[in-house]
Amino acid sequence: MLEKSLVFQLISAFIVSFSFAILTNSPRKSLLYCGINGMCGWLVNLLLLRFGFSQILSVFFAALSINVLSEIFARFLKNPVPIFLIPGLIPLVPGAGMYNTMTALLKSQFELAIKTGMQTLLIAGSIAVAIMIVTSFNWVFKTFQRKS
Amino acid sequence: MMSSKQLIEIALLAGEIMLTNGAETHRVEDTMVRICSKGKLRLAESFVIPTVIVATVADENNNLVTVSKRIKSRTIDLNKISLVNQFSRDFQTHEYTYEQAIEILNKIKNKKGYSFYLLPFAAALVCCFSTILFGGKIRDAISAFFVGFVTQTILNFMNFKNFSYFISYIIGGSITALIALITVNLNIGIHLDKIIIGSVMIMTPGVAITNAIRDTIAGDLLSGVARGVEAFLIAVFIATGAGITLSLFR
Repeated sequence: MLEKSLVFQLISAFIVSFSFAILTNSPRKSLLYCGINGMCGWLVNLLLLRFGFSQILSVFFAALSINVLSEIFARFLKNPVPIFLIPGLIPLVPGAGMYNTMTALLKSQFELAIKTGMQTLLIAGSIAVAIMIVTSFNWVFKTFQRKS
Repeated sequence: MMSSKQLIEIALLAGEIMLTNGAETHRVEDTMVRICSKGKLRLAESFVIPTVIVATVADENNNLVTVSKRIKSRTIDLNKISLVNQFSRDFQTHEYTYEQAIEILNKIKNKKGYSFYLLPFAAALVCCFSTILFGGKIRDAISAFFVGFVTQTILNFMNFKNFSYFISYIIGGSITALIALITVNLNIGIHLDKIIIGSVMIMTPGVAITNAIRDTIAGDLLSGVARGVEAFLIAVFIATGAGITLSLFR
């Protein structure tokens, strides 16, 4: 039962990234890779959550793996990195956190709003840090390659 | 051999296409300098922020040419960025004449994206399956499909009529919440929150966020901050729109 739902979730993540790539007008050849990217990220996220990692940490590692995959795809397909990165990150965006913050504000529950808002910001921040780490390492790598 | 004026015109057109379609500013700067490096120039500099392109070249006789271009409308079309990227690589290896280069760039500029009728279906699929990712049931996914279809159709229309993004995101957020409420009242969907969370995904400023981070690391702090503020404001607008509808009809 558990494995069946896992497969279903992975297929959903694939379709979400694939369709979002259409919305951003990505090149036709890259659509499939965008879908694979989103699926791998969601797999990492789900597995880490199941092993008992916190939500922030699992989103961080998922974003890290998506970014590494995007760099690899970008090298092989000779396309800019963001084409693969943007659709891949979409399933990880903390939409639920934003919604909960908004409804808490509507009901004037300010303590709950601050709590959920902070958590949302931390998740968004962990995605940002993951992108920063991979991208800056990649640029260091590139300059070394150019010198040698 | 191209004159410095012709080179900078080509570079400016390429930069304009990239920036209007959502490239990072450092990528635009790199591409423009790379195109200019084809000629024998003494100096080639470009300065790009999300709303303006400024470029300067000087040839061997020290004839300075500076051009600037104000970017007013911004859309997202990653295919064009990929094509211009490819063009700038070809431009270095091939011997293009001025007319050929301008013709290729104009062809890229006027290229159509995916069909107008495909976009609502893609948006509907995004909404439908992200509802499932956030823990919705099949019935929620079905109603999110309708929500996404209608919202994207209206967003397309507002984009076509050149609404300011402030208004279009507020209207988009409120329409999402409104249709989600209708589907729940018609007994198609079950969880209102799951449907709205899934459906708002089509409006997430993914390009703005990613570009903000990548620009910041590249050292373009000004562009990074500008894009970060844009992304934050879009999120606030969507929440405002959805919040207005929810508080009115609850």
